[in-house]
Amino acid sequence: MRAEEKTHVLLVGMRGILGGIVREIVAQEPDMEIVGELGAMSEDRATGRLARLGVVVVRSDDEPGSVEDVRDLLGRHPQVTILTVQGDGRHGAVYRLRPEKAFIGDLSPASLMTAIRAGAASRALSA
Amino acid sequence: MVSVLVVAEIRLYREGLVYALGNRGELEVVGTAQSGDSAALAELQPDVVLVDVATADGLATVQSVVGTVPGAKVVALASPDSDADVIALAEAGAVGYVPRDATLADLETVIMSVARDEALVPPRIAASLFRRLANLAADRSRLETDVHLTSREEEIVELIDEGLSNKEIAQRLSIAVSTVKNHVHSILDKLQVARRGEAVALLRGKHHPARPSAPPGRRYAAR
Repeated sequence: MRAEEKTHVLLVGMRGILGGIVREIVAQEPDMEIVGELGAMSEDRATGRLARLGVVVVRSDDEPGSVEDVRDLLGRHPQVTILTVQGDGRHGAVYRLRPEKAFIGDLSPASLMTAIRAGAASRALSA
Repeated sequence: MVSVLVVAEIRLYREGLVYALGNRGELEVVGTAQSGDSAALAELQPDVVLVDVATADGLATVQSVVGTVPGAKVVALASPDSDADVIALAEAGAVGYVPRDATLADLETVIMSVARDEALVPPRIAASLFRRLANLAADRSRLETDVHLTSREEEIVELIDEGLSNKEIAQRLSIAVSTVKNHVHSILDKLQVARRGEAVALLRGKHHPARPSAPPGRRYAAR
């Protein structure tokens, strides 16, 4: 697999055993590459590294205002997908901000309804 | 090669530690379990069981693992808590402790240490363990000096230890139940405990094989 086909991953705040686990999991995937690590999301303001990335994996527990950080980051780099991992390792969330086009094909009453339901389900998922 | 079994309620830790430890030469992760009473524990007989105790019933999980695989060394993976919490883990049977903010390399080092029957604990925790030992020794010394049971009270403690009720003790000793109650009250008062079971546990040291038998009225050692 060529290097440019790999998903570039930046790890943020991935410390301790949890950080080690996430690092090992990503590192063992042949189509992913860890291109850097930051101690906190705010450090990116200095480096601008996120602009070239596909996915940012962020530990989200003890960073005050982490939701605001995510909103701010997506505002500056809308192409980035952010995956937050709760500090205890139990839950996570994906944040994306991008227009998406999914081709429906020949429209029919059934495909139209399916598309509407899929759109509603997507909205419910992100709520 | 040291065989390791991971017990963790949280899936990312349970399955992620297989990834993370599997690449380390001296370790072999032989299985995972969600709880301490998993059949996998007894079946696989690992050298080391790594238990994530950060969840609510972590202490009970350690006790369960120790009961199920008494030959295995238990390493607790925990959130950094008070020294008292770490001591409680040691008393439950854990022989190693790794805080969650440690690195995977630290975790590997502790696992290899306990596999060699060595303890590797942070100096602060080691100091707490020594203080705990000193306090236990002081308690024992206090009992040896201060507590003096009569031969009848000793007899009653032994019968309580056999599981007899006050009524059964009265029948066994051919005395009134009220007399037994008076003796029990006196025992609890002397030992400064609230329940019969606590008295028995405290005085079980008298049955220790290293202690020579003593005449009635001897002074007791605590457990």
